[in-house]
Amino acid sequence: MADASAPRSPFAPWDRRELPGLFTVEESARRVGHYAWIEMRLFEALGGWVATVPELDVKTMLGRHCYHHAWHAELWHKRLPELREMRPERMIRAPNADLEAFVAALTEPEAPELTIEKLVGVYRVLLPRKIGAYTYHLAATSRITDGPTIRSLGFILEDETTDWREGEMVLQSLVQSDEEVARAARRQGGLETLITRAGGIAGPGSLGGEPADSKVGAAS
Amino acid sequence: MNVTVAPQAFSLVAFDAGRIAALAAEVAALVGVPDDVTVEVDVDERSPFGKTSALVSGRSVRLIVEGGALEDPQRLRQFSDAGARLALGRLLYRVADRFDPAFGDPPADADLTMAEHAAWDAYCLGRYARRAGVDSGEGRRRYAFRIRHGFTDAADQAFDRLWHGSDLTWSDIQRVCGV
Amino acid sequence: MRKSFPAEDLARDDRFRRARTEDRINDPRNQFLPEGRRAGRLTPERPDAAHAARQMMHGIFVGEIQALEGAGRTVWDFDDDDAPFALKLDMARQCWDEARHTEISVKLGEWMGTEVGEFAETTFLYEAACNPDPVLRLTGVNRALEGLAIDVFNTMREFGQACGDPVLEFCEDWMLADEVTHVKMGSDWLRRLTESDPGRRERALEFQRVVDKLFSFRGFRGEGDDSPVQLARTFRRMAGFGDAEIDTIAADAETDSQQEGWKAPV
Repeated sequence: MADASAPRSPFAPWDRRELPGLFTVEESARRVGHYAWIEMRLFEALGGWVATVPELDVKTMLGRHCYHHAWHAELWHKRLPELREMRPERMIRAPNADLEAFVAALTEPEAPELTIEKLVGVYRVLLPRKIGAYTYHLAATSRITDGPTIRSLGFILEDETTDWREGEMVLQSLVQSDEEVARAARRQGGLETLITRAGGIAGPGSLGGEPADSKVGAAS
Repeated sequence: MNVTVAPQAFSLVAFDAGRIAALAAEVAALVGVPDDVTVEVDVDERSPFGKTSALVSGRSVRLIVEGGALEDPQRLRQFSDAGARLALGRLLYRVADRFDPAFGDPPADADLTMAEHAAWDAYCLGRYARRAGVDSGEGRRRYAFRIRHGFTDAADQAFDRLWHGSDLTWSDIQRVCGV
Repeated sequence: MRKSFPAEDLARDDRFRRARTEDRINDPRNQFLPEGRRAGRLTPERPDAAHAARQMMHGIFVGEIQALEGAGRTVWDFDDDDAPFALKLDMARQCWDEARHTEISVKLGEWMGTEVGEFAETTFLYEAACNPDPVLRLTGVNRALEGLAIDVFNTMREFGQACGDPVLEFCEDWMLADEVTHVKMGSDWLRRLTESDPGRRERALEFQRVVDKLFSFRGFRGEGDDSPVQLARTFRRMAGFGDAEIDTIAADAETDSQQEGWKAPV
């Protein structure tokens, strides 16, 4: 019979999670604040666009996705006080003026014949950027100390990937002619320029490559 | 065929008596109403509803139509050619059936049950769709039939027999209605 | 993209035709409807039951599109000072629900043999309920418009039960559950946003009453046997409407139904 008092390792042999991560509490809060800001801007835009697009399937898709990103914003709102940020409004902001300019350009189209432009901005520029930044965060942060963020990132990335796929398929069904291909490419190019200037949804270092404020045991 | 329309001029809706008469004559010929039958189309333009009936007396037919039956559902008080053809097609197929000795002896429209109306309409509009080469709304007719005969596979099969049927008799229709 | 979006710009594909609300109200045929000749309660016993049900279902369909558009505009039109994040989150949730209702309505239309755009659309739901003041908009949409939705869905659910249509009954019941949630959201936010401003709350409730009267237009919604849409007292109570409030709607509807003639606005 097994001895219940015999010591076991606190981590099961297959649990390979390490303690160190690239982000301090403050760095995590900074990023999460930026994530909350962009999710809010996105869900507002998707909601506003519903009335402006004539395509019925696009209307209902925007309505569904609007809620997805609002819920993501809520998850980030809730995470901030847990990261010692008792005034979330202080952190929920754009990383820089360039990302604000990107959002202004993203949300500019209104006319009913501009569905391609509206969707390209979201599904070929913003969502891929978010997927990249969230995936980097997932890989970079401590899998033990930043567990709650990782959990939220898991749910959010599931949504982002599903929504990106759905939006991309709708776009492919809408872009049929050479002229429409050119429109989509122009729109994508213009917005990519703006978001590149911004450095991504969390500013420079959205995908790493910039020193964080401090790293805890990054080399171990 | 002699077709007249009352009123001769409309003031509440944008209908044209001449157009209605022309359509009625065209549809009557298409569905096989005998040439010697006189048809009077009596349109109540004051009503937005769509009630219709046909009174047969000897070789005279009076179609009583509330204006809504000829109205475009997308454009208030405007005439619908397509809608009018369907309404007239349904009514005039019934008239043709009444004049066909092989069909049998159905009661007057006012004496039919709602189930019998739905069954006979399905038979009329299925034939009209094939004869005229148009979509006569099989889906909505099936729904109307289901309300009267049930949401069952048996009812759907009965509808299919009526919709795709030819040379049916009044007895065949009554059998569908369980009479 | 503009803040505040007029009803005439609501985007539609070519299948849809817009009817003006005032054209329906001022239809010259309304004066000729004889005493007692109204469409009547939506039951299978009506000779035109199928057509009336299909027409009402199409009205629900375009109403859901407008509700989706209205909720979406609320998310966009107001900044954080006018509408707190938590309110916008609830409105985004409503977008999701109304998108689902739009999809359900399309499927029900197909089930009933109705084509998209078969009947003209009036935008009076969007017009009546979307107010530049977020509190009035919330009241107009989440209490008046969604309250009407409770009545309409219950009417259709009962129609489905009565004629044995399992699909209609099933779908309307699911949509009814969502609408109860929407009304509760509206009631909660009305209370929270006007906690320190009773005058604003009064204005909001008065606006709701105006919109409710519009939706009861000449007996379209009421408790009489001749109203196609029946006031759903039980479900309204579940959604948080008080009995006094429901009685007011019923009384206003009864008074209005004494007007001669009517034609349903959708």
